[in-house]
This record gives sequence, C-alpha cells and structure tokens, in this order.
Amino acid sequence: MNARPLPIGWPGTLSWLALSLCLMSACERPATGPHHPVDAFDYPVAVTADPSGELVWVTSGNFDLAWRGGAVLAIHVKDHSFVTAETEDGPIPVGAEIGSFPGPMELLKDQGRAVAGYVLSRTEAALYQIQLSGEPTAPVVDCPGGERAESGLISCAAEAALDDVPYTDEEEEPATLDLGTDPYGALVVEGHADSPALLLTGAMVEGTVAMFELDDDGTPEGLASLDITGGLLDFAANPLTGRIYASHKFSNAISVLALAPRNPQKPTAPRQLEKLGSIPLPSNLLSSDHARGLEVSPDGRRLYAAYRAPSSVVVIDVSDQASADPAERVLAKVPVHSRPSDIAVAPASHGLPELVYVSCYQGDRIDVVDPSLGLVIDSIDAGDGPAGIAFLQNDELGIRRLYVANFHGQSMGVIELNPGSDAFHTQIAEVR
Amino acid sequence: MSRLPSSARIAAALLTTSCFLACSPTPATPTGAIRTPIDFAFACEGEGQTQLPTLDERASSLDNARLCPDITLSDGREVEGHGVGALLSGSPPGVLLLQTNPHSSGGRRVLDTDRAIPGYNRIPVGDAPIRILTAPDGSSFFAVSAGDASITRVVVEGIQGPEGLTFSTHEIPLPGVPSDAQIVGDQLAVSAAHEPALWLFDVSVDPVNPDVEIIELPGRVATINHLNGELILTWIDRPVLSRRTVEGAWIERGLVPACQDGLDQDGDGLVDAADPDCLDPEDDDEAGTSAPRQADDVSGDLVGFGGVDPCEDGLDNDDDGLTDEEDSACAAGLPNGEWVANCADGIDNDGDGLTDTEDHACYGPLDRSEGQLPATGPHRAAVLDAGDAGVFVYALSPGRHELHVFDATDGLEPVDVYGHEEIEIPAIAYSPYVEGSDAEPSTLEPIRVTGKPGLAFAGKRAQRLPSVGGLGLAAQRLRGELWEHIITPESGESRPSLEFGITGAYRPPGCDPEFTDRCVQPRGDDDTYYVYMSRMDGRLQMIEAVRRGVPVHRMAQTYSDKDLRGTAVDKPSLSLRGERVPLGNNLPEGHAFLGPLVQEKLTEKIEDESPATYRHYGLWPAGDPELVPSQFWTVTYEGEIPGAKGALGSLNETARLEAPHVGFCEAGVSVGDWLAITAPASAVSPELQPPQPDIAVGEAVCAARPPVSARIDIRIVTVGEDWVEVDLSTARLRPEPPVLDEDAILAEKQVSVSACSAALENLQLALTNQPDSLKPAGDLTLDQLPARFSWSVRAAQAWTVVGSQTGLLHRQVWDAQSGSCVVDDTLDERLQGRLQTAELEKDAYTQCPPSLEQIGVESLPTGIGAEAPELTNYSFRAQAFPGCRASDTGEIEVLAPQRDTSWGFNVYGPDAPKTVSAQSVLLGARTGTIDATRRLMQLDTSGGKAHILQIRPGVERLLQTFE
Repeated sequence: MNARPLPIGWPGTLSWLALSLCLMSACERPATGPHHPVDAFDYPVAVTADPSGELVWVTSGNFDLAWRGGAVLAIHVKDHSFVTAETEDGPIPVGAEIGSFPGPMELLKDQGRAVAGYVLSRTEAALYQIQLSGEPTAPVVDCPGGERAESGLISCAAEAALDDVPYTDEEEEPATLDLGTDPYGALVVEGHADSPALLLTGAMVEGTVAMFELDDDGTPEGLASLDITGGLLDFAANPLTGRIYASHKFSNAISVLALAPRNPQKPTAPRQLEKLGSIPLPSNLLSSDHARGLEVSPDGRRLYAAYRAPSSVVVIDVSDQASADPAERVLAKVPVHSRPSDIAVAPASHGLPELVYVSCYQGDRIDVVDPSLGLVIDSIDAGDGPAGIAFLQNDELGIRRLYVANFHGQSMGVIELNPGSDAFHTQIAEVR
Repeated sequence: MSRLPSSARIAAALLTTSCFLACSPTPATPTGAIRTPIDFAFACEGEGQTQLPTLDERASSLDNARLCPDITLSDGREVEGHGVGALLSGSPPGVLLLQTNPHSSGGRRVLDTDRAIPGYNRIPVGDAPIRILTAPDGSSFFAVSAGDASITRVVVEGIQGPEGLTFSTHEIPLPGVPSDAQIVGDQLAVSAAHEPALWLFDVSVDPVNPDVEIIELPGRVATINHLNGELILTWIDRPVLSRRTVEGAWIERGLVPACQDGLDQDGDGLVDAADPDCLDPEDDDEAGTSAPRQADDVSGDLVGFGGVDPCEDGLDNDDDGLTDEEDSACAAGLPNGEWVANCADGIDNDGDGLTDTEDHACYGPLDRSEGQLPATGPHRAAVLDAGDAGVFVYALSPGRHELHVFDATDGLEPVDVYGHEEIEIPAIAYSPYVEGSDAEPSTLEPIRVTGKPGLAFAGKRAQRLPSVGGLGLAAQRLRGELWEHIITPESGESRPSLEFGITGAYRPPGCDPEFTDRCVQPRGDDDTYYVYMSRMDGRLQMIEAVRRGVPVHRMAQTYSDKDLRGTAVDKPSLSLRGERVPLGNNLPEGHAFLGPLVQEKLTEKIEDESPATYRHYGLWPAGDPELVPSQFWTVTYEGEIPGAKGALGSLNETARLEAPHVGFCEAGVSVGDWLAITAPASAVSPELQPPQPDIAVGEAVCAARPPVSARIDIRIVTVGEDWVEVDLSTARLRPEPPVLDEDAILAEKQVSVSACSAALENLQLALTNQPDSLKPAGDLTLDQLPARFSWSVRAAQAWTVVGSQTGLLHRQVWDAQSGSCVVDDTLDERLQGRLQTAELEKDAYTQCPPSLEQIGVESLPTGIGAEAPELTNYSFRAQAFPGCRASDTGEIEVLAPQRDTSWGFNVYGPDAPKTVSAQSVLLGARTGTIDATRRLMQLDTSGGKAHILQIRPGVERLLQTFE
C-alpha cells in the first residue's frame, strides 16, 4: 500500500495535528500501538442508521492517531449502550477497527437487515469491507484478514483492505481500479432482480469515482472508474430516477451521475457510470469551501445540500419537470449556522412536514429547515463540533430521533424528533 | 373561524412560560456586533417606549433632516430621539439595536444593551427567530420565533437617558410553529407552519396579553402580506397567490400553469389532471369540453416487424429513461410493456402504495412517469400600493424562475408584462436652480417602454428572472429623480412643495424663482416605485414597477441613455449533431454557415493604446433594439420544431398521427415538414432497414454491426390542432452511422481500429443528411412500421430559428371555426422562425471558405448575399449559405447543409437587468425597508452585516454599514 499525503483535513481543525503526525508516520497504519477502545469515540465523523431500526453505527475517526486505527462501533438506540454480540466464546463488541481518518459507513441491506458495511480510510486510500452476520440487532462483525483484539473488537487487516483493485474495463481488458487520493464518501446503490447492488466510492483530491459490483455476500468486484470534479465529498441517490448526485468541496457544482445504458451490442460488458451534467449553485467568489452533505427527499423531487458558500442549505429541484437549465434548479438557499456539514431528511410524519436537519460544525447546532418554507424553523443545541448525522425512525420502539457525531465532543448526541415528546428538538443524550 | 376568550385560551401556558420582566433582563452573551441578521424593523426613541417616526427633510442637508421627534429625558434634557433599528439576529437569537439617526448624538452606530459586559449585547428572543415587526403605534417590537413557538414583545424604554439603554421583554406563546408574521391594521397576524391556520393577535388593546382569533385556512401559509386590511397570502403546499377580502371571500390566482395550480379555473368541478381539458402540467388553459382521456391500450398491438418485443429491443421506447427490463411494465411481464405508460400499467411504480391515476404524481393515464411532481415554492410576495398608478402584488415563483405581477386595484388581475402596447413615460421639465445664474430649463427625457411581442406570443405569463434565484421580495416608493428629499404635501396641497428662499432649506431642482414663491415637485417625480428581490448571490435585483406614475413592471435597466441602449451579439458557435465543431479564424470545410464568416478583425491591437477590434458578420441588427430580449438563439438546419415530439406514436389507417399533448399548428408545424420517425431497426420491415454504407480504409472494409435504429422521414401534408397527416409515398430512409465491430476488426487483422474510427468519422460528414444519401422508401405501407415509434417534427429544407425564451416564432393559429391551421396576417411579420439557405450552383464559390467579397457584406451588397433569402425577426437579420469543400484537385464544391448543423449565439438586448449590493454581501435572506425614509436595510445574513441603501432611479448610494 502506498503512503499518501494527507490533504486539507475534514472537518479540519485537527488537520495540522494529523498532518504533523502523518509526516512522522508516513501515514501508514501503525503496526503496533493500542487498539481502538470498544466503548469510546475518538473524533467521530459520521453516524449511519442500521436498517434494523435498532442500531446506529458511529465512525470514530482517530484524528489524533491515538489508536491503531479508527473504528465503527454500534450503539443500541433503546438504551444508548455500546452493543455486544453473543458468541460461543462469550460476548464481543459489535464494531471493527479500521484505518484512520475514515468516512461514513455505508451498509448493504438484504431483507431488511445489514449484511455488509463499507468504510473508506483516507490515510490508507483503502476500502474496508465489514461482514455482518448473526442477529440483525447484535450482529457478529468480521472482515477480511481480521483478528480479534484482546477487547474482542475485530481489527480489520490493512493488507486486506482494497486499494488498487484488478477489474475488467469497458473494453473488456484487464485494468486496475484506483480509489484515488483521499477517498471519503461512499454510496451503496441497492440492487434489483437482474441488477446487482453497486458500491460507489469517491476520492476527494482527484474526484475519482470507483464503482464496484457487490455480490450476494457483499464482496466488491471492481466495475468502472470515472473522474469528475475534485473535492468530491458525498453522494446521494434519487430513489425514483436512480440518478446519483455528488457534492464537491472545491466547486460550486453538484455533479449528476447515472449508470450508463447497457450497450445492446455488448450486453455482457460491465456497467459504466456516466456524468450527465452538473447543477451550479449560487456562490460568492470569496469562498473556497462549497458543498458537503447531500440528501434527496423521499419523493425524489428535491435535493438538499449542506453548503458553505456561504453557510446555508440549498434546496434543488430534481423532479422530472425541473428547468432544463441546471442553473435554474435552485429553489432556495437558506442561511444556517456556521459551517454546515451533513444533512438528514426526516420525512413528513406526526403532523410535521418533511424537515431537513443540518449539522452546523462551527455553530455547535443542528438547524432545522422547512424546505417548503425556505426557513430555519428551529435550531437545536448540539454537542461540540457536530459533523455526520443520521435520522432513524422505529415506530415499534416509538423512536424518531437524530443521531449526531460530535467531532470535538468525542461523543454521539441523540436528538428527539418526536413532536409528541416534551423533549422535542432537544438533545436527550450524549453517548461517550 | 373561532374566537377564544382571552383568559381561557392559553392562560395556563402564559402563566407557566411567560416572563414579564419589569426592567432589563440579563442580556444575551456578549458577541461581536452583528451576526446572522434575519429581519429588521424600525421606530423612534420615545419617552418610556418607542414611537412612530416623523420625517422632516426640509433642511438643506439630508444629514440635518429630522427623522425622529425631540424627546424629554428623565433628567429634563431635551434631545432629538434616536432612530431605533431593531435587527433580528439568529445566532444567538436576539434583537440588536441600531441607532440609525445620523443627526442624533453619537451618529449611526450599534447600541450595546449592557456596557458592563464586553462586546455588543443584544436583547434575547426565542430560538430560530423569523420575523420582527414594529407595533402599529410604534411602541414596541414583536420578534416571532419558530423554534420556541413564541413572540417576544420588546419595549425599548429609553436610550439616551441617565439610565442608559433600558428595555423590557415579554413572551407571548404561540399555539404552534409560525411560518410568517405581519402587522395587519391593529393586529399581529401569524401564520402556522404546520397547520392550515392563521393566528390574529389584537395588539391594539392589550399588547402584553392580546386576544387571539384563529382563522382556519385552505392550506398552510408561507408568507403574509396585506392590502388595506385584506390578507395577501402565499402557501406552502399550493402554488397560488390568494387575496382574502374583508368579508372572508377568496380571490386566487395560480403561480404556475393553470393545469397544475390546484384551481378550477373553468368552474366545471374538475381540477388540473382530473379535468380532461388539461393535457399536461404545462397546459395553461383548463377551459374546454374535452372528453375524458383514456389510457392507450397497446396490449393488442403487434410487436415489431421482426417479432422483437419492445421489452427486448435494447431501446427506451417510451422515452421514460428506462430500457427494457428496467421498465417496471416490462419487468411485470405486461404485453408490450415498454409501450405502456407508467400511469396506466397497473403497477405502483414509485412504491408509495398508490397505483396509476390514484397516485397524485400521475398526470392522467397518458403520463409516462408515476414518480415525480413538479417542485414549486417557496413562494414569496410583496404588495405595492403605488397610489394613483395602481396597487400591485408581485409574487415570486422560484421553481419556474418567474415573477408574477397582479393588479390588485380590484381583485387580482394578471398583468401582461411583455405583450403590452408601447408605453411612454413622460418627460419632466424643470428649471435647475443655481444661485445667481440664469440656467436654462432642462428636461428629464421621456422613456419609451416597448412590449416584447415575441415573448407574448410564446405565452409568457410572468417576468422571466435572471438565473440567480430569488429569496424574498420587498416593495418601496423611491425618492424623486429630481427631489432627493422627501417633502410631505402640506394640508390642502396635492403635491409636495417648498417655500422658496428660506435660508438653510432644501433647494431642489425644479424650482423657478421667476414665477412663484413656492417650489412644487414636478409631476411624476415623486411617483417611482421599485420592487427588490434578494438574490441567492447576495445582490438585490431591482424591478422598476412604476416610473413617474406609469406602471412599467420591468427589470430596472442597466442603461437608460438611448445611445447606450443598443444590442450586442456573441461570437456564434457551431455544432453538428450536438457535438461542438471548433472554430478557428477560418470556417471549417463542409459546414453551412450564417453570413460570410464568423468574424473579421477590423483593427490590429496597438500596444498600450487600443485592443484589436473584430466584427461579427452574418447577424445584423434588426431595427428597434428596444424589442430585443436578451436570450440564446439556436439556428439549426432541419431542426426539430420545439414541442412537436413524442414517443409511442402510431399512424392510423389514414396516415394520421394523433398526439393530444401536442398543439401541432400552434407549435409552428407546417405542411411540407418532416415527420421524423425513429424505431428499432429490428422492428421495421426489411425494406426499411437503414442504409449501411461501407467504412472503407483503402481497399479494406471495416467490420461493422448493423445500426440499432431506423430513421424514416415522411412529409406532412395536413397540420391539425393536435394531429398531423402524412403522405406515405414520400417516405425516405435516413442513413444511420454503423457501429464498428472492434472484435471482428481485431480478429481480421486487415486494418486497425483507430484507422476505422477515423474513417467512420469522415463518413459521418457525408453520411447523415446530404440529399443524395437519403433513400426513398418506395410505397410505404403501415404494416412495414412497428405499431409504436418515437417521432419528432423537423423543418424541411430550412433552418429553425429558436430563442431560449421566445421559442420558434411564427404566425400560425388554429382556427376552430374552420378547423384549419391558418396564418394570422394581423400578427407582426417579424414573427419568423425559419430561414432558407441560399441556393447556389455547385461551383459558385471561388475559394473555400468563400471570401467576404464574394458573399457580400453590408457595405458590399453586390455579392452572393444580395440575392440570398433573409430572415428578419425582432432580434436580428440573418442569411444562411451552404458550406464548401476543396477537392484533391483543387475544385471548390458547394455542399448542401446537413441536418442538425446548428449555430448558437447570444443576442443581448438593452434591457439588461440591473442589480445593486452593498460591498460583497454573501447571502441576504431579506431586505427590510425603512418606509419613512424610503431607504433599504440590506441584510447580509452570512456576512454579519447590515447596510442602509438609498436608491433613486439610476442612483444607488450606500449610506451606512453596520457590522
């Protein structure tokens, strides 16, 4: 695995520290050193809701390189405990140690449960594949080449993580799929009857999108690669059209991608990804920092972007009837607290309209945007440095909450979204 | 509607949550002065509470003018009251007070509510504030907060007294989350964000514990405005502007086409998609008596000629973006599934539990997509009471980039902002007063405002906005073009006037000391009104609603000087079949062109003196620049007629193609045009297989697969309202580019793939549409075609000239009485959208590309161009000439134009819209108006600044920045 330079950090404030440590360590995964703890976070960057509705997965960043690597750790939404799985050898933590400076975990679902997870490590420019088996609400976690630490946490092998992946290109020639430099964002595109699930990864520096086909057990096979604009940070898929949107930190454009139609002359050729165009967002010339988190509304009509030029949530029309001129698709640009980072959409429910939650990293707040009004209708105190967020609704458990990775707070905040609760729109727990 | 007793309503909530503080509460955490300004309100410092401003600008300098009356402080001092600007901030939520009166002690500045705490402190209000309003009597401010669902009443008790700045606050709980608020008469109206209701608080009797009246509404309100006590509302869920009369009646107008606005315009009880008169969401006419539309039953149709099921032909036959098995109807095994519209396939395509027309996302059974609705909103509105000029409501429809204007004098009547007759804004004659001189009378020139007939013809309903979208609207009367000061008419006078000759008084232009001792403001000078739109890039778009008392409703103009109001044209670009063709200094061989050359260098660059100058030929000014809208034009040989296109078409036994969603006649389709059919090659008879030319490299022929599609052109012989008829005997086959079989080429090892690719590229030029490459289809019969095919209509042997806003200009209308498509001779002849190519002999050119002299330019009318056909529309005049090619022997050959040769260029009219902004505003969500002084408070929400701007026609001044 090649050593790679660390680019400008995200969320950033510790990047100088990371950079200096990186220079000392040449950014390779340290072979020795303490394993990541099983009951604490180290600069968490992201949260992922599990399809079971009972777990969330927190990606711990190891931004201070205090541990051997970063980690993904499962938290139970009922009691906010770190989850353990029962095995023949006794209980083991539900989580995995991975490379440092990881991105959010993307999950492959099958029949309502997660069967695999994928996390990118920026320092290693590698893709970690995590296998999930056993009880859906307390899965046993494994990964290729993984070894269990004394704590029981599986430590995934850096050597087994994917970086340069052999594949067959569109000319059906052998080639190597490179994840690119500083990969962070990922997206699992669910499969259909004749169309297997796909995994997309994005590299921040070159804007390389690597596409993998996922087999039944979630093993990725390289498919295609596409270079789009640099600063690539996040993906979102339109549930109706299948179009994929990508945000760029260095550009005021949202890229629009899609699977290329199959060539009838080459029906067995691997699927390709194509860039259909881009949607320019209104920007001021002073900014060098643009779009971050992306989400599509459940009805597929609107795309929401956390945007920093300047701090705002941008509402974009991506419906069939949207203007033919991409520049005219922006419906609203709603000012929010400083440095918005991630976006989550809570669908209309409980008498509330569809609401957009945005983590404001520097403002230490979660702003609540009513996109149909174009207004911030609430602002919630969060922990220190809210970064990645995830919405989870479990009607059986009566849970409708937002989970927040507090980067500086070394914690995961829990925010109540049930309007019937006295604690509506307040942080009800902070898990450390 | 229900009225709740004051005490019983929300008393418990008040008792538990209200916090009346008799004196100043603890201020917010100290911060830098301004952060996240959201809204602005204004009042004057008073004695114990604020008061309404009084304006006296008779002083010679505006800085010495009075905005606020004198007040007596508790220590007996008499001072001029501060102007109190209440700036609502979102982060942290609070009201920051600004002193805005330049002449008051200390000048304009940010006020600190507690000097004991470092930094600038603010008055805390509820979380996520959205609006601040001045009480009707000016005594307090109401800050409305969404996060806490509350109103904070702020009373600024005093500022300049010995006690320093004192204030009190009181919280009034709201029944729910608010979306907007406005002072309407004596009431504070607050709309509910999450329920269809409006809460009216009567703040005139008891502003601390006001009665509340709840009005149930037909939807959730987005914004509130009012007009003489009547509510003007926009909605969250409805793309409609509504006026609620005092009697409770509703007047409603759509902000989107009539067939998607949710209103029953024709009163037949059927709305939008449910009304069979609505063809599609873009249809703007709901009236009529059409029969209900039925799904097209394709199950019995024959599959393709070769027995190829449309679900297996590798094509997206219904143009819904899904091919074969990706199409849910194919996946479900429906016969001819690709041909079945999603909204008639019996499948819940989008998985929302609703199928076909049960799903509100389906626009009738012909809709091919069950998945999506147009996104609209958030809509905004502003009310403009322009006195004698009328009362208008502006409404912003951001999803469509449109600004609607309604005359609200009596109802809500849409104003035709483009199609009106020419308007003349009268001149203003005045005598510039100069002490001790005999200055000649002067005149502000009259202004001519033309309509845009082309745009009106294209059916535009509203002002087209620049591509940078809008966030909010504000309306305001401007100061005079001559009189910068605002002089209130004295009792009994109809117009503002000033006594002339008072020392130290304002002496405006227009005073004539010869004839009167009073100086009257010239008529029209005080009657200009603007609407401002906060844009997403931080700038303010200025819209000139009324100028000198005349409604004009146009974007404020960058240039008003007639000499500067010309037109300009970009250098044209060339594309062939959608692929850009690079243009150097010489026109590439083989391409037909507009005018003689792309550009000519007029003068060389002179170092440190002047740049090189160029002139673009082929596009000449049309005449009246005022009629030229700024837009992008494409001129395409045999281009598609916009709007005349479809999938799943079929020809009946009379060779008629019916398409209920297409108005063929009014789209500009003419007899003689081509119905261009595209079908899978596997689905047409062997006689209709596309010609497959050899791709030759020397002696070798490159292996190629047969084309996937067949393209057949058939002449249109009759144009109907929503149908066309064709003459099958005119059918011609168009060649299709073959697909290289690279595997076979490699296996044969006769020639390289790259050589074949190059040969194919060369072939493309000759392939597609040179007249001699077309092959007559003989006596075409319907059974040679597939039952369903994709189609478009293309101009025959002509260029289509299409503007991005105006579309294809033409004069055709459907005459329902005669049942025929006729040319309306009453319409302007400049409504032209077709250009013929100059007909030249094969050897007409002496060089390739031809010389300027041979073609002829404006100064050389004797060239070929003198005889060539010309198109003249509102924006330009143009001619088209065939391309050329030099053979190996040096002969110059004239080449006929190829289909889909397209020239594109921007034409800029003189109506370039003008924007204004203070410094580099990052994101101004709202702009407040200071009504008394006709000034603006531009809020830089992200940049943390607030700017006072003064705007007069053509003159914008930044007066103050607070930060």
